[in-house]
Amino acid sequence: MPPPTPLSPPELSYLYASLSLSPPIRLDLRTPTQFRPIVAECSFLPHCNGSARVCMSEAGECIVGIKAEVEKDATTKYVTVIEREKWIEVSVEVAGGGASGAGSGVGIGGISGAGGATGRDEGDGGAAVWLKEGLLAGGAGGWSILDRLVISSGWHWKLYIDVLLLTPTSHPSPLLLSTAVNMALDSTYLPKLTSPHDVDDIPTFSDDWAISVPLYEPTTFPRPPMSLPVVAVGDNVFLDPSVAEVATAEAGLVVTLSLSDSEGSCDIVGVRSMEVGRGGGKEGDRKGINRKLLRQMVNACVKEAGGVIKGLGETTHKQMFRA
Amino acid sequence: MATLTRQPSSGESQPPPLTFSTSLFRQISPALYLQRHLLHSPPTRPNGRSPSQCRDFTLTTNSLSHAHGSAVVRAGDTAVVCGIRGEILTVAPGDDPSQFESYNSSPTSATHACGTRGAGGASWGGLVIPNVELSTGCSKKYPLGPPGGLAQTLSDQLHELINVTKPVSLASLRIYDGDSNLSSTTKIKGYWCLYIDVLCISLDGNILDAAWYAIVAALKSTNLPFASWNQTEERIFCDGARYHPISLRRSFPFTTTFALIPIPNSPENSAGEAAILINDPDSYEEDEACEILTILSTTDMGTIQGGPSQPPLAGSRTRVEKIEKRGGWKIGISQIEICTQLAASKAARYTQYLMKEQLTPM
Amino acid sequence: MAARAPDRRRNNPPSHGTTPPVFLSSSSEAVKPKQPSRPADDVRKIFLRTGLISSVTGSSFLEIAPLKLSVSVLGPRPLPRTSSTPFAAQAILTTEVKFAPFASTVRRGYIRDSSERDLGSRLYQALVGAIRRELYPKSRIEVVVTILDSEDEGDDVNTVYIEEGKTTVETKFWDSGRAERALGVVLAGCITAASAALADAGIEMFDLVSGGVATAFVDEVNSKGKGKGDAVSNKLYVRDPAIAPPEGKTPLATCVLGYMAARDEISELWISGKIGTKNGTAEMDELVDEAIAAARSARGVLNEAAKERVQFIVDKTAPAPPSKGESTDIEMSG
Repeated sequence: MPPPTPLSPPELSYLYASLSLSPPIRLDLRTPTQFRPIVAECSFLPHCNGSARVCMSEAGECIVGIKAEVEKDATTKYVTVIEREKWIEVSVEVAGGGASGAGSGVGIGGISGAGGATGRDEGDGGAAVWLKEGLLAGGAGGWSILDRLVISSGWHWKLYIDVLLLTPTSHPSPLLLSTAVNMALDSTYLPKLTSPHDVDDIPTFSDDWAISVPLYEPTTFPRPPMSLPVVAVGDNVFLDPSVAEVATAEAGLVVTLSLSDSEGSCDIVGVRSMEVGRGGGKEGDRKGINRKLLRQMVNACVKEAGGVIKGLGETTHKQMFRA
Repeated sequence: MATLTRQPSSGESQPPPLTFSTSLFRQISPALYLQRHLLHSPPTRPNGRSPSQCRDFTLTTNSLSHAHGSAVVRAGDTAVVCGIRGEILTVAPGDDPSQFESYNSSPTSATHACGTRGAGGASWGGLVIPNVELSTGCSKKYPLGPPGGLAQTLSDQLHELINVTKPVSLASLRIYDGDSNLSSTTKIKGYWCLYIDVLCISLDGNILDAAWYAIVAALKSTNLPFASWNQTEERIFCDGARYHPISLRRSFPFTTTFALIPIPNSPENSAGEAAILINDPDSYEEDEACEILTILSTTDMGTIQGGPSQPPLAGSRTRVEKIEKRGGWKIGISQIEICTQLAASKAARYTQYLMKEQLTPM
Repeated sequence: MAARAPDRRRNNPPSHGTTPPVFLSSSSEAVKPKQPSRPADDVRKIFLRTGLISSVTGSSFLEIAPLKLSVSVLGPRPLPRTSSTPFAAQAILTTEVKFAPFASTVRRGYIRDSSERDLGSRLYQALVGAIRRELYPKSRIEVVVTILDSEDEGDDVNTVYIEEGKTTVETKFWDSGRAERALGVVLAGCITAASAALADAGIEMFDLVSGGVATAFVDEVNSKGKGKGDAVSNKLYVRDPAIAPPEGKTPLATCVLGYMAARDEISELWISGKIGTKNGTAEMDELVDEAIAAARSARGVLNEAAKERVQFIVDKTAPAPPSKGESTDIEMSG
């Protein structure tokens, strides 16, 4: 089901017309690649290894807490792939549940919860899958976040990423979730191991947080991934679309990127279609994305992402307790 | 497609009766449509079969790559896929292994139902766990979502059939410690637990027979990997290169299902029959049936050597293991006798197909 | 399968809980599953047949080497008339993808897990634009996919490799693109088969959607060490990839898409992995082009299946001599 929209067909049609102008006029007078302001803070939960709170005016608020627990490997030295993938657990919960209908789960910008609301669904829809996919894919080609979770032979960290959404709409922007998880990961620190690395005994850790180890080294790459939503109306491409813009748009993508060097260039780690309302266009106009539009949409993300992710990272580090 | 001609009726003064095309009649009055067919001479069902005729079926085993044993059965428009997977149950040090080695003894369905799905809510089963899934879009009639009444009943029926027939020797599911110094009971480190999952792909009546046949064929084709306790890693490991079959009962019983179609008293019903028994009903007939009779019978493997051309009908070679009848009071003793005969010949055919399937190289 | 609350509607395992078997292998004698060698730009043979399930509106069965799946289309049928049902000017499409418990490397439960729900919503995304939903107001179309068998992530994922005398963790068999490739092949199959089933059901569409999947691989040496960058030159694109990577290669990114060939439009796109952006979107374009090529070859099969079906219907409806079984005339008075 497309995200419900508060707009009537004439309003959608008007919005479609104004967004497909050249240059386009957005309702809040932003430029096509301009983001809306967000309020964000991190490391505010004292009992979590990493945490973040992000507020967006329209999409609501998102709180992420990351906790790490020491867990024994199922076998002493070697683990199967399936067991390794369980080292990270992501759960997404919607507070109050007032927004989403019964049994439908929350749909993050149409990424999830779209189809199959036939009563068999329980819980969070695909948002958790999407977030975890970004994390694991972030280092394709040799590097994996899971390698950072190995403590010593026979022991590993188990990472619980709990996302709490306080949102007035049933389809909050994926940007909200992604920003919050990105900041939380960036501010996650694990206690430093004091026992030898290659011993099977229960590992011991230093209680001094000043020497704790960051999950993602701030100076090395890859950095935590971040997802940007982008929609297309006519020939125009818009970053960070509002609910009304999503309802009007003909095509949408969520592009997940991660910073690949200090100059702010990015690697694409994932692209997914986003469900849009197709509210304003004429019937039978455009049913998918052609390749030219796809290029245009991804390009817009790639150009802007570097600055956004870098800026977010800098803010995070300024706020960190150790900074 | 046949359009109707008016039958010459006795009273010429009567207004002409309403006529419908066959396909429309089939939709609007299924009961009458079925009765007229069955009262025809010779009695023919709407699907073209005679009342005692069952559908042809095909059997394919071991066509799935991840299941340890599998079978696909197609009988008419009913198609089921059965996959069997072994998972490992690790015995905790304090456990008494013998508790796993018994089928839940539940002689009647009533106590069985109380035992597993009763007020307590927790229904943890034995080592062999059958389940049927109908929410696969196999028919318009069954909604998607959690199992409905029919799926639950079927799972329960199959569970009971397994408990009654004891197809697998549970002692053969043991997994031992490789260390030979220990006594035999402490050596048991775990068990294979067999998940039997039956998915209905296409549903056109009589799913119980198809499902049970698929289960038996899948069990016969099951090969489990050799598993043993690894002391250094303290966990059970399997050997991906060596597999063994599971030990089963020598001869398997098969189910045969009949439906009883009520025939009201009418001028056409010259024989005065109250009801007609039909073998292997499809879903159209099932909807009209007033009674369902299921016979579980074994045909001894030995009789197969006699030649496939003569189905063994003699009672001495056939044993009836279970008769289940739901609803109504119309089936008489003599009809049950006829059904038993039919069941025996069907069981013989099942056995025959099964052996043929196993002899053909994979 | 750890101890969970028992499902009261099904038969449950022993309360101890059971674990999937874990295989032990010393890597020296590890037998690699022999992949029939196939050129990188070739796709596996696709078997597609429609109309096998008689009791639903439309159905199809698809087989691509180990992948076997069955699709049923129910509807269009009226929405239930309850006060809570909103007015729907367009047909409401629901999609559901379910793996059979025995279809994957590790047994799945009956409750749909998050990856199955995710596949379902992506299938929705692929199909929803193609269906002329405005022609079916106040109704519902359900697409149900049952996956009977799949290559999944291969048996390797449940195997512990122990090499005598070595103490470092062996990551040779660990590559992060595995799940994406496995799900990608399944999703592409789902899209193709679901379009065939929708066509079989006679539901009007703008175009048939076919699924395609391609993976970019680089040499193993390039991916480690330098980490990134110069590997661009010797990329290997594999269409319809098998789960085992080609010898000495490591996966970079996988692209799955739903493609409407007649309109040249992508209805569903899913890329996962790492794609450099030094040359803008050039690298992504190459990958997308490969996936589209794979989708085009699936489209050929789809067209054939649709044609076969039309032929079948034409033959059936052509005036045939009345058969004996159906000639029973029936009269009903009243």
